[in-house]
This record gives sequence, structure tokens and C-alpha cells, in this order.
Amino acid sequence: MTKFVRVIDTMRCMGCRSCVAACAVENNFTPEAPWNVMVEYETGAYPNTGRVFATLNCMHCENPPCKTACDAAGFKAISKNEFGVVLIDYEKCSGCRYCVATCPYGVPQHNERVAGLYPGAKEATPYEAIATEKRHPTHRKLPNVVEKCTFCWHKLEPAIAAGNLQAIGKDPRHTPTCDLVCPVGARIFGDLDDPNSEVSRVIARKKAAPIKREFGTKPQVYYVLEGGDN
Amino acid sequence: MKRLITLLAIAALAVPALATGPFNAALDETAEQIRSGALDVGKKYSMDFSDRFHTIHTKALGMGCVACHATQSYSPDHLYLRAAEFPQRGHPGPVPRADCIGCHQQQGSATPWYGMVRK
Repeated sequence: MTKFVRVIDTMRCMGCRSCVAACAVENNFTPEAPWNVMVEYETGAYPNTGRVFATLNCMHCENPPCKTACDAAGFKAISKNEFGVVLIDYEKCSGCRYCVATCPYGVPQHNERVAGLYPGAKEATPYEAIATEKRHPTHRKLPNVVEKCTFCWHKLEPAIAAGNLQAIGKDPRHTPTCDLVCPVGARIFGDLDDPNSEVSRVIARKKAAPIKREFGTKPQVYYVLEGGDN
Repeated sequence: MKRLITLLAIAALAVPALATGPFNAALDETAEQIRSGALDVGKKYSMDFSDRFHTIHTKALGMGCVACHATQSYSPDHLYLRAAEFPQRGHPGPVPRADCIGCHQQQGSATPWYGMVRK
């Protein structure tokens, strides 16, 4: 089997937000409903202080509470596929925000409007002007629905369809954009079930672990944290 | 009027139940009544205050606003909330999801959102 996971090394991240910007351009999220955000906080006490940066996007949990909530409400708009990617079907989403309420990571974002990349711009960029029906389903934006990170499923899907799984995480065409642009190599994406993949090796070597494990959602995004995996 | 009295009666049962811990018979019974439809909490799934979610937590269970919207102090996980949640528009403050675990875990009284199992 193949299970896609991401590792974010907070010891390397310098908070440049390239991944946030790349996600905004790739997925055209609105500022009010970001798919990827940078969290930063200070540690220590003067004069021995530090600053920690970490980006948060969807954890693509093994037991996604957002899906449980959506199913319980009867909409069944959220699915988790065999590769571990949690996706929202905008056509089925009612905008009830139960998923927003249940996610311990604050990931699902209720998007009230469909907006362009550049606020106030008179004309859409050619990228934005692509007809809705020609876009990948994860990019067919609708107002009043919930959106979130898809692990750039629109880039993974073609590789899977072509049976080219080994390209995922290596070929820029088949790797989530946020992971591509990191200038310090703090983000790695790949197959956890392959013991020789870079993500598997980094998770083992650096003792990366998911955050908020107490919720039992079994997140598929691992963090390398200062002081170990707790 | 009859519905209001029913809700008040259930709330009267539920409040002491919450005060003594989430895992007791009164709370389980209220949750079962909600699930079975015996207790009318509305059918509209939405976060709006008049809809099902808040009706369950406030009217049926008798929880006060500050039980969830503790705006005066933030838990450590506030760092992981979206900027828009400080405070979330139309809401009196962010909700630490850790408060939900008690009921919303496996084998808990409410719909189990979270994977941890009650021991």
C-alpha cells in the first residue's frame, strides 16, 4: 500500500512563508479561508529566547473527525481515499461547519466567497480565468462551502492514474507545491509505507511525530519538534 | 410550551450530570433522546445559534457559553487556531477542542468525533 505523509521540520523552518504563498497561488484560497498558515511563537526567557515557526495545513487524519461529523450530519461530503488523502466534495458540502467545529487543528475553513488572487484587480489572471469545468474538482470553488488543503491531490492524481507512484514527492509535477518551494528543505512529502522513502527515514531519524495525538485522530503530518516528539 | 417544558426538564437533569462528570446515566440518556429524535433539537445542521448544534449544547445540555467560549484565557493550543478565530466572526471566542473530548470520544455519550477510547 501507499500512504502519503508530510514531515515538517520546525528545527529548519525559518518562517519565510514561501509554502503559504505557494499554496495560495496553487489553490487560490481566499485570505479569510487559508489552506496553509504559519504559526509562530517565542520560547525561553530573555536573554535566551528563541522563535519557533510551524506551518499548519490539513493533517489528513487516519480517523478524521471532520468526516465523522459530516457523515453524522448526513451530508457525506468528506471522503478519505485509499492513499490517505481527505477531500471535500464542494457539491455535497452544505456549509454547516460541523467539520470546522470538530477539527482539533482548526483546518477546515468556511469560505463565504469566491475571490481572485489579487484583491481589487480589475481583470483575472490567465490562471484564474480557466473555466470552472476545466479545473480539477478540488479547484471548482463555490461560495459558502468548506475548503481545506488537499495534499495537492490535483497533482498526485495524474501520477497515480499513470501508475507512476514513485514520482510523487520527487517530480515537481507530482509533489504538493508547498513542499516544493521550501528553501531550507523543512518540508518533505512521500510514502510512509516505503521504508526507503525520505519521509520514512526522516521520521525515524529525527523522531518526528504528529501533534495533538491525544485526540486519537492519527494525523498524517509529522513534525520535528525541538526537544523531541512530545 | 410543552416542548419548552421538556427542554427545561432535560436541562435540569443534564446540568448536575455535567457538574459531576460527563460519563453518567443522565447525560447518556439525554444523548440517546437526541439521537432517537425523542428530544426535538431541530433538524438544521449549522453553527448558527438557533440551529441544531447550539440547541443541543445550550438548551438540551444546559451548557453555558463560557463552557466552550472561554475568552478570558487561552489554552496552549490557541497557537494552532486560525487568525480569524481570534475571535471568530460572530462568535464570542475560540473553542479549545480538548473540551469536547469528554463526550465526543469513542464510547462517549455523544457522537464520537475523536479516536481516543474511554477507559
